[in-house]
This record gives sequence, structure tokens and C-alpha cells, in this order.
Amino acid sequence: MIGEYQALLVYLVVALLVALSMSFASERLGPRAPGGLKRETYESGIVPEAPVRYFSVRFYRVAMLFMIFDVAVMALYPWATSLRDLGRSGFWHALPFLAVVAVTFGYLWKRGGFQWH
Amino acid sequence: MIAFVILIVKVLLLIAILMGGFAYTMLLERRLLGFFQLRLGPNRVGPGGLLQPIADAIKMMLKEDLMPASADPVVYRLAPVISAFAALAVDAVIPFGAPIHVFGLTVDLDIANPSIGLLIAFAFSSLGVYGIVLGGWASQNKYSLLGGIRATAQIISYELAMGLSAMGVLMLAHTANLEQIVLAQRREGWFWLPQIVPLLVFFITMIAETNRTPFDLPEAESELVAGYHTEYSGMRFALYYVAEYINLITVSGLWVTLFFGGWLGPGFLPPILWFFIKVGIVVFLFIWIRATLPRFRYDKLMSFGWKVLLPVSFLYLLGTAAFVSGVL
Repeated sequence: MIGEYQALLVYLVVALLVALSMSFASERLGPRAPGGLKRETYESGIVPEAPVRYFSVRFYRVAMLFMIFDVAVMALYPWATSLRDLGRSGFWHALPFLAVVAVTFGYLWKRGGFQWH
Repeated sequence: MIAFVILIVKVLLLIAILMGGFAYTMLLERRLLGFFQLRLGPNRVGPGGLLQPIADAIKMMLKEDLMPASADPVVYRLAPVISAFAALAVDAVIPFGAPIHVFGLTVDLDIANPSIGLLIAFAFSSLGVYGIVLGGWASQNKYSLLGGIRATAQIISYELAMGLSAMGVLMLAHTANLEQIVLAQRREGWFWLPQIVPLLVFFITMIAETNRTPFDLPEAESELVAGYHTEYSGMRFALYYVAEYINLITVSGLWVTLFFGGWLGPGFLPPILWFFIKVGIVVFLFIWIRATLPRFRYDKLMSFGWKVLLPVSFLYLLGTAAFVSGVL
């Protein structure tokens, strides 16, 4: 008998091989005619001036907010799955945790954490 | 031994179905968009354009593969593979139909059925964002980088609401195993009615996760040329499309499994057919929305995700929790 995770592993390996072979197909099969401006980056016809290294710091903020709440959401999955067994006490015991998350969320909202400007 | 043969057959079949599904979903989308916009769409290759995807695939494979001189070669080559791999991987845990009996053997119509199936599906679907952001970064193109970063911010923002809105189903079904979720819906009725708000939230986040109109900011062609795949050509470019369309089929399958009973349906059609009919309807809905709605503005997109979808799904989750635990 094959376990669930062994079957998953077999599938993942096959999927990876399929993706890899497709990725290298055009490198092998396609024509190669180097030269011209082919290897310049395309920026709407304007000659690219400098390599790109920087972008708006607002994206870092989004990533950090995501980290905070995603961990909270992940922690709730086992609780959600077994809530029917836990019954009333399960609900009341989780409420302080949910309240902390909600207060954090409200605070961030009030401080403009979700404002894009 | 026989179990291993069955597994290999299932793996190859699933990948073939997904690749075929990708090719023909793309054709369906192009033809339907054509009809929505009062034109014909691709109809020249084969009867009614049916061979168009094959012609596209051959063309893509025989194109010259270009890489910008300033690009990071390893990451540039790896990024589309990550995207396509993550898209393919999610489908391993989705149950396509009831177990079937052939030649005295019972065959489950999924690759694996782990007890944390839904979590595995979410885990792999969030891996896809690496392909997009790394592809955007490795191209060393301003537009690609912006597209990749935008995609990351958008996908992680909407992933929270997606996770929260699926949790109500876990409470009702009492399990995270997708097969068991379907069976629970046979006992207790489909979850679309008790979970009507999470269903809508999940649908909106599905569109955002697959970067489709009206949430296609990462590849907004009027601002970013083509977003994260501007510099890609040939089969690597096609791999991003493989990822996008397989993701579309996958999230539709996930939505159907969570809220609309998966492969359940009246007995006159086999379960697997019911599953594909339901997924087909959701895919049509996606295309219809793409043809109908204009693109969001970026700041609206972010505030909609954080200030509307997240609180709404959180409050509904709280209500579901109170109901399931017997407090109400």
C-alpha cells in the first residue's frame, strides 16, 4: 500500500519534471540568432538607463502586515477543525486570542496601516 | 506493485488532463471573449479553431529563447518552472470524483488524500507567487519588477481573506480533508447556503489570486507593458500561461469542492462528470467577468482586500464559530 504523502511526492516529482522539460524545450528546439538589440530589456523603446534595484517601501509594509495576520490565521486552522468537539468552552477560550487579533487589526486601521497613500 | 501502477497512471492522466484543460480553457476564453466583443476569435486552425492550442504550442516551442543580458540567468530560468510546478501541485489533493471500482479494484480519484488536504492546497498555491516575483526581479526590467512586486502584495493580501473564508467550511465539515468535506456535504447539505458570505469572499479572492481581470494589476498592459513576463519568450512565456490557466481550473475546483458539494450530484450522471460540469460553469463565470469588468485602481485594490474582505470574513467566521460550538 502506498501512503498518501508518498503518492503526493511521486506526483510532485513528475510535475516538476514536466515543468522543467517544458521550460528548456524552446532553449533546445528554438533557433539561435544572436545579435542586434535582442538582449536589451524592453522598456517601451526607451533605452534603459540603470539596473532596477528599488521600489516603493509600501510593499514591505504589506508584507509585514501579512506576516502578522497570516500566522494568526494559521494558528486558527486546528481550532476550526476541532471546534465541534471542543464545544462552548472551545469558543470562549479562543475568544481572547481573536480579540487580540481584532484589536491589532483595528489599531493598524486607525493608524493608517492600510492606507496606500 | 499494482497500487504503484495505478498511481503512475493516475499521475500521468491528471497531468494530461490539466495540460489539455489549460489548452482548451485558453481557446474557450479566446473564443468567448471574441463573442462577447462581437468578433469571431480564433477559428482558422482546424474545425472551429479546435486545433489552435496545438498550433500555439508548436509555435512557442520553436521560438527563439531570449534572455536579457542583465538578467540573472539561474533565477530567470527557474522562475516560470516554479509557477507552473506550484499550479500543477495543488491539484494532487482535489478529489475529482467518487472512488470507482474497476476489475475488482477500488481507485480513488485523487492522487493523495491527506488529512490536511486543504492546507496543502493553500501551501502550494501560495508557492506560485515566488515564480512571479522572481521572474519579475530576474528580468531586470522596471516594468517586470513592478509587476512582480505588485503581484506579491496583491496575492498575499488576498490570501488572508481566502484562508479566513475557507475556515467556516472546516468548522462545519469538522475536517480539513477535502474528500471528507465532500462527504460531509452529502450528509448535511451543500455548504453554499450556510456559508454564503465566505463563498463570495472566496470567489473574489480567487480572481485576485489568479491575477485576472478586474484584479490583473500585475500585468496591466496599459501601465506595465506585460508585467512580470515582459522579458520572457518562447516556452518560458507559455509556462506562465500554463500556470495562470491551471490555477484558474484549480481554484474553481477548490471552490466547487468547498461550497458546492464537489463531485456530488443527481445520480443520472457519474460523479466525475458532475465535478467537471461545475468547474466548467465557474470557468465560464471567470471569463464572463473578464469580458465585463474594467480593471481596479491599485490603491482601491489594496484597501478593498484589507478593509472590506478581511473584516467581513473575520466577522462571519466568528458567527460560524458561535453557531458550530453551540454558543448561539
